[in-house]
Amino acid sequence: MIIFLIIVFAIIALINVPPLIREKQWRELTVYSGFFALAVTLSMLLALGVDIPSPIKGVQYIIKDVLHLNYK
Amino acid sequence: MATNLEKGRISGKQLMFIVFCYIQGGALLSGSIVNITKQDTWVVIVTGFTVALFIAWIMVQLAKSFPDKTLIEINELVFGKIGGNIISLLYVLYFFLLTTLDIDNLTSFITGFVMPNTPDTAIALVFTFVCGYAIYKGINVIGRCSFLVVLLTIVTILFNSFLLIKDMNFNNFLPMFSLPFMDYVHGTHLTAVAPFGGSICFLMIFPFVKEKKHMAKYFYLGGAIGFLLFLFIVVRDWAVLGTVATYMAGVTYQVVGLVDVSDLFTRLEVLYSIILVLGLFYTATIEFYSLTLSIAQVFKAKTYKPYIFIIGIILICLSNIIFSSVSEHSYFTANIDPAFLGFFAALLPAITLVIASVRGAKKKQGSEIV
Repeated sequence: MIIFLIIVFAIIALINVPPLIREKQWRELTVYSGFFALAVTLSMLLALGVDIPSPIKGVQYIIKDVLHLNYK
Repeated sequence: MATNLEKGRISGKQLMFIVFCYIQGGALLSGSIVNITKQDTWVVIVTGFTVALFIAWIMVQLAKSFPDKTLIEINELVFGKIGGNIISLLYVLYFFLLTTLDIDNLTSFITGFVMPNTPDTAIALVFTFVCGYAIYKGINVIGRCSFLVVLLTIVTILFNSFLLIKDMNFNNFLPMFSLPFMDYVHGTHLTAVAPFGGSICFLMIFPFVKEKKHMAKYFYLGGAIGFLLFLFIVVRDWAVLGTVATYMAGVTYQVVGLVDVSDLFTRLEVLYSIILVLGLFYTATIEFYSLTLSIAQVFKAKTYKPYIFIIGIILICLSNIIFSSVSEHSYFTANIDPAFLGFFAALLPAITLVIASVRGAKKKQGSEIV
């Protein structure tokens, strides 16, 4: 699974990164790398079976336990 | 400028079809509203639509005050550079969650009813890939396909409903207006923001509409037809099922499954699955499109296309971890969503509009004095 993920990410990087370097879009490349790192981290953790806390739990906590704006 | 990022343009009518598809995607999963207001759901849809019209009016006023500007550019103009960027980043997070919720809606529907043994990730992967491909091709293609989806949705729903006439019992709507007042408030709140909660996404699409003059008319019209069909579906479902509907998951799916005309027209729920997937495809695509475009604009990138697939992967991962069960999702939709969507889809745009008009008035006064 991990090897499969690495291959997929390598293919995506090979498709997306060369045009950015060729056109010297460094700002785009930095932003792209940030999202790329996030995507790799998330999918690797999922593939390894790590429990990642859901972001929606945070929203639920703010609305329900802090602001008390929920209905039930 | 947004116009540098996206070269494609859509016509006013295509905007109308997109709005219609967008509402259908959210509305076809009407279960959570039916659970709250039962036989009086039609009432809260009418009142909810009235409130949604007001939200749509806010969007239109913002688009009129800032023509050719997307939501992200409007934020920067109204709140200044730093404030605008903070609010835009909040919107990016909001679009992330909104798209993830829709992908999760689709995967839980498919794994719940159509393909029970398929893993969630497989369905999310295929679905997100198609959405990503549509976005890669640009708003022009999304606009052109919309008419076909509208046609298919309307024809399928009318055909199903015609075959269901014999099963309808309008006594199911009695007794009227007998629920606690708060249930009506809850239902109205949910109807106003849930199918139309991502309407803020359209502020990312308005700059690409060719006919600026009639844009508002088409936007309202698309919303009105969408809500009318939503009302029609809810009334039909309740007339057929009655109270049983509150115990069911995927109410409309079950109702269409009841069609049986002399063993010739049976198992029509497959048609409903097709239009639901198409509707959700539009909802998710519009949100995904707004997400990638807003990321490109927040980070001042020259193009949004390289980000599509990498963001798609993040979305698939998020849809995997966002809810551990379907019941958790329905609890969130019914009770937390109204406040969550209400803040981003109604309150924040309203604040933006008020500040924009106050600053606009001040500028006008200043220029008169000068």
